[in-house]
Amino acid sequence: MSEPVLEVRDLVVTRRAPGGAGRRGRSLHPVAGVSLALRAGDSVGLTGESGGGKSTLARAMAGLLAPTAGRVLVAGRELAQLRGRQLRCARRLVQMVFQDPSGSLDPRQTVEEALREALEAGRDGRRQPDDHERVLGLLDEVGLDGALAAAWPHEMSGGQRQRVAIARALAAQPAALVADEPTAALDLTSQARVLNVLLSARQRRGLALLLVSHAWPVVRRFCDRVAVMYLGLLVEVMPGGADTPPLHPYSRLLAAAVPSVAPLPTAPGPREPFPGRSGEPPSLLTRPPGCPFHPRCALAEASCRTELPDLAEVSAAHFLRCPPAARRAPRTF
Amino acid sequence: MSAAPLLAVEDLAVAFKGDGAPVQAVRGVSFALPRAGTLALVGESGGGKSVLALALLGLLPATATVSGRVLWEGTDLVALPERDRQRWRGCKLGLVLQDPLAALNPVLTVGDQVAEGLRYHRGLGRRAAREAAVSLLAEVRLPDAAARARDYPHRLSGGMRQRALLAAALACGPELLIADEPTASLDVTVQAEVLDLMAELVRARGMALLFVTHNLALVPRVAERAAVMFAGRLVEMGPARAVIEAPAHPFTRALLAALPERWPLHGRLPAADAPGPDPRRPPPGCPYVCRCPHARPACADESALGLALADDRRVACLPEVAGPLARGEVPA
Ligand SMILES: Nc1ncnc2c1ncn2[C@@H]1O[C@H](COP(=O)(O)OP(=O)(O)OP(=O)(O)O)[C@@H](O)[C@H]1O
Ligand SMILES: Nc1ncnc2c1ncn2[C@@H]1O[C@H](COP(=O)(O)OP(=O)(O)OP(=O)(O)O)[C@@H](O)[C@H]1O
Ligand code: SF4
Ligand SMILES: [Mg+2]
Ligand SMILES: [Mg+2]
Repeated sequence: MSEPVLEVRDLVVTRRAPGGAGRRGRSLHPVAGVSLALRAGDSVGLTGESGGGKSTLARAMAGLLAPTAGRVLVAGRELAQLRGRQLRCARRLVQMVFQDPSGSLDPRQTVEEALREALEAGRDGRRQPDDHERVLGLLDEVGLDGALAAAWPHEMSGGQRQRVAIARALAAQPAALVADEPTAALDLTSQARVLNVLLSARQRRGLALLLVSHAWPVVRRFCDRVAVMYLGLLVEVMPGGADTPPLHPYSRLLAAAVPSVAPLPTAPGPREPFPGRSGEPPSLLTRPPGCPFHPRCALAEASCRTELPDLAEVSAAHFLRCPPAARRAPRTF
Repeated sequence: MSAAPLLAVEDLAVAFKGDGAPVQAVRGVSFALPRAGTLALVGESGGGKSVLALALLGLLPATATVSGRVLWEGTDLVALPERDRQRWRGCKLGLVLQDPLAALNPVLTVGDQVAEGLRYHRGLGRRAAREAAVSLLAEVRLPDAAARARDYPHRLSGGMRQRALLAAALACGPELLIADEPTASLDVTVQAEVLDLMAELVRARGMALLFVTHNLALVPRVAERAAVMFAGRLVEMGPARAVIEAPAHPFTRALLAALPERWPLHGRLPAADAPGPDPRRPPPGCPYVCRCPHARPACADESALGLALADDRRVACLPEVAGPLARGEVPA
């Protein structure tokens, strides 16, 4: 198998709890020991409820925040060991797209100016005479009309702005793209358009994609692999698509909560009971010992309350951090 | 003569003045909502759903020109003086918006905010209002309502805030609840609960509901009827189940195909790249012609559009296109 273009090993990010002043403030672990590898052309969907640490993990993987422990490797080289030119080069290889494109687009820059700047940054500030052509090529790649090169961010719809943000990320010639909820603020038709752009970038450029989305069916149907995060930990990593059912009670809770048009109920109202308690999303501040999901879990056993289970392979490319669920699962190897 | 419906919208249009031609945000919209009826307004971003809702409320900015009629039990609200309109809003209407933090007052406890509405609309005394507020907060299943009533909005999670907002909207005992993307900012796990809660309260209290969303999958959960809106116009309307099971307008079909649950696996997603029409210069006839796979010259002829599939089921498309689509056939 090829070497991962982006990998994290035993990554930990520690933060001070809000309000906890000085040295005595409590520590939180938005990322509490995560390992994940992306190879060229991979698409991994990272999902879970709000506050689970998805954005923190995504930012650490994009080199935008330094981990407290563990390693981030870009094309096999550890980010923390690199300096100067090599560090800049490694950073360029991993680009990030955010939920709110206005955060990454300067309101005083036209689309062309923003894309030129990104192109130049990719080659240490040098311009090239055919940069205008490249700008048009990038716009075409994200499905936007070349006429938009002269547009300002405020003149575009949210979906268009997001596609410009992706074009900007692609201008740097990355090997991996980390997209944090890129479609959360968009309607469903714009979402499909933005995801199509990510899909073709992956296919055409062999880009590795980490797509963060709280929407279970989005990651499930769009990505080749799905990683489910709960209070700083991956609780299940599984193949995408429809063939492999999720096994972790938390993944099943997420899947069951998705409103669906089919089959239609006879009257408006809830369809099936949740396999656990949905309740309010949990907080890192009150993370329990043992399996962090146990207070909401229908399968919880005594050991779940005290011991944190390992993320164990239950079938090919399917990892699960839940011994009771693993015991119930049909064995395929 | 049959009694007038609770709300009847007749040929409503909203345009915004600005530089150049006015933005025609809503064009020729008509529908009726009976007492205790539930209707979902569905469509993509910029389609005019929120502007339509604001037009019903009478809360549009001064740059907006409204024409047509909004009849409340037969009385035209558009013609009503602002003072009376305000009184109508205060006692007949509940409003829940997407962003609960923006809608709640940050310096008042949630209990006091709900109580304020009760004192104003029902004339309750301070103590009685406070007690009634706690029971309303319990009705929206805010956990530990009595204690939570003393919390400020920022102390609550998104789901709890949306419950508190729902309680505030119910304080006046409204006959119509307007909910514009009420769960868009919530986690999926909480979203389902808040929607089910809203549907249950609407039923239990016999309120009418206008539910605005871009997600068709949410519709059968809360509403009996669906109205699909594109570029300021209603393009399809009918019982929610019929619209979802036998969509007749090409745009409704596109909305359904955009649902993740209907996506092809790992492949390109169905999404036309063409933008919607320019709201300053909408084309004659059907506004969807720019994206429609079945478009033909007759689509530009307003008088050729329109098909009644049933008494309560209308489609603003050519009969030779919408008819076959509703039967699951491919139009010739
Ligand atoms: N700089 C920080 N200081 C203190 N706490 C932080 C910091 N960054 C993150 N956290 C904590 O980590 C938790 C996880 O945050 P993160 O944004 O990574 O979650 P998420 O899964 O992306 O959630 P969402 O779906 O809401 O975007 C937050 O709830 C917060 O409590
Ligand atoms: N105050 C305003 N002045 C000028 N144009 C406006 C104003 N408010 C809305 N519009 C325009 O009216 C049209 C309809 O907007 P509206 O907000 O109703 O869409 P929507 O269907 O609610 O979309 P979304 O799903 O994004 O909320 C858009 O073209 C919008 O730009
Ligand atoms: S009227 Fe024409 S353009 Fe409009 S939806 Fe029907 S077939 Fe398509
Ligand atoms: Mg996040
Ligand atoms: Mg809106």
